[in-house]
Amino acid sequence: MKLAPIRPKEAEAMLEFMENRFGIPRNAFEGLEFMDNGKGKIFAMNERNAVFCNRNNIMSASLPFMRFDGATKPTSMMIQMFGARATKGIVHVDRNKAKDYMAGFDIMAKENACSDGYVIIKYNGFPLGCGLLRNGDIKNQLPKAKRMPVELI
Amino acid sequence: MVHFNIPQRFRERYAAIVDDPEAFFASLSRPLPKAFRVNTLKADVDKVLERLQGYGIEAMNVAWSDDAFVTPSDKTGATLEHFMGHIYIQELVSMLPPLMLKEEIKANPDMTVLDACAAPGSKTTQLSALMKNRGLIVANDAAFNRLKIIKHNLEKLGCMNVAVVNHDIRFFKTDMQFDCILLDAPCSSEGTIRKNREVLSRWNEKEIISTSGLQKHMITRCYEMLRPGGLMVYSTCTFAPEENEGVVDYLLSKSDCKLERIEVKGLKLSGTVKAWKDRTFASDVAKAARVWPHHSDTGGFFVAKIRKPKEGMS
Ligand SMILES: C[S@@+](CC[C@H](N)C(=O)[O-])C[C@H]1O[C@@H](n2cnc3c(N)ncnc32)[C@H](O)[C@@H]1O
Repeated sequence: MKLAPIRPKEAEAMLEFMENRFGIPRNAFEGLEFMDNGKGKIFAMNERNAVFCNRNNIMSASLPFMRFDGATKPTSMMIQMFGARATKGIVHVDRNKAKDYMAGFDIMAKENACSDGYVIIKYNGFPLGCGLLRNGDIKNQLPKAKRMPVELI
Repeated sequence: MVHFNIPQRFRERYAAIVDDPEAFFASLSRPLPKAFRVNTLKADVDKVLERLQGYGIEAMNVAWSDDAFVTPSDKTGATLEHFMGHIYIQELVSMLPPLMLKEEIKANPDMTVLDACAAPGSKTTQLSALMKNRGLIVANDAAFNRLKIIKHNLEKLGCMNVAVVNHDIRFFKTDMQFDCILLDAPCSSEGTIRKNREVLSRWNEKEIISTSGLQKHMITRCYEMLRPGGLMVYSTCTFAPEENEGVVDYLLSKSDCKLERIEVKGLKLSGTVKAWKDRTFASDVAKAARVWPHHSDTGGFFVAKIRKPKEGMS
């Protein structure tokens, strides 16, 4: 595959989403290019990498940043990288829920201040990844390969 | 002393070139110390150590890298830090090749690097961190089914300066010229016996000879892709001189390359093999280095720094 730079209008909408939903300021992403794989998946990378991925056939790119194709869904890996700067859209979990989340289970979060939609699951200051909040239930959004049993937290 | 099954031919081969054969053979049956590195793209060394300590995991910094640690614990893989990509479990000697590029990165933080044999991406992710997500690493591997694991590691460690490609490096067509190249070649893996005993049960000299041929082909193609003035690091995790000194000697005889001396403050490196079978290696080969498992309680390793002269300077 090759990646194409996303249009400025889309980049703008994406950054706005990050700001509105999570309070992550634009300057958190300074120096990064946003590239589209043509299937609605956006990757964040430095400029040199973006130019290479635009001109050459690549097998995979990093960092997967979000889905942006009608659905607007941040990736868990993006949240781990930038989620520390979020000020809202965060569900704080305790030890046991954090372990459940990392192992790939859905979790309950009856009490939280977020509106339904994608949220940052945070434990003890660590942004663990993405969840989908609906009526107090959080659907686990961690990719299968990133799930693992964690004993020590 | 219990010797697990070391083939007689293996013994004869290496008794001839190692300083202390008994200590060497004995070391092969001992398990490898566990090691990891802190991923500075996502975490801070002091904070990670503090948290590990909180779990009761002891971690000792090695003398030659601020980010590398050994630990008696077998729990590092079950920590939040591992889940978060704040630590990466990696054998110590495997961390050497990227460190060879430290000075180059300092001089040219936006350099372009080819990681010719990159899967599963241990050295790619380490280099990405040393480059602080700047510049560009083209991470290549010929094995399609090993690309998934590189992708996984790049994502987990937060690498944003790496593109993954899938070529047989011998036939990689590109007009790019790389500032640096890591050629961490496929090898007979004798240096990983402590981790994986099977290496010995399928050990045979024929494979060493054929692998050596493959490595010569790979190093030749990689050298063509290196820009004048650029640096290539050739490494293997094996003891066989055919795959180490022999490959570097071959490139020296076929090109204008120059070897550079290797120094790693705080790590005991050993000299190279001077001659093997009926071949005496070029004297420049001695600038490369070996790591023997019984010296610093590691796996076995070979590493060479190969410079392409600037144009008009040979
Ligand atoms: C020693 S491993 C590399 C380990 C890796 N550098 C790391 O640190 O994680 C050697 C790799 O070379 C790859 N390989 C073998 N033949 C190749 C070829 N002709 N071209 C490119 N890669 C090849 C193998 O698939 C294997 O993944």
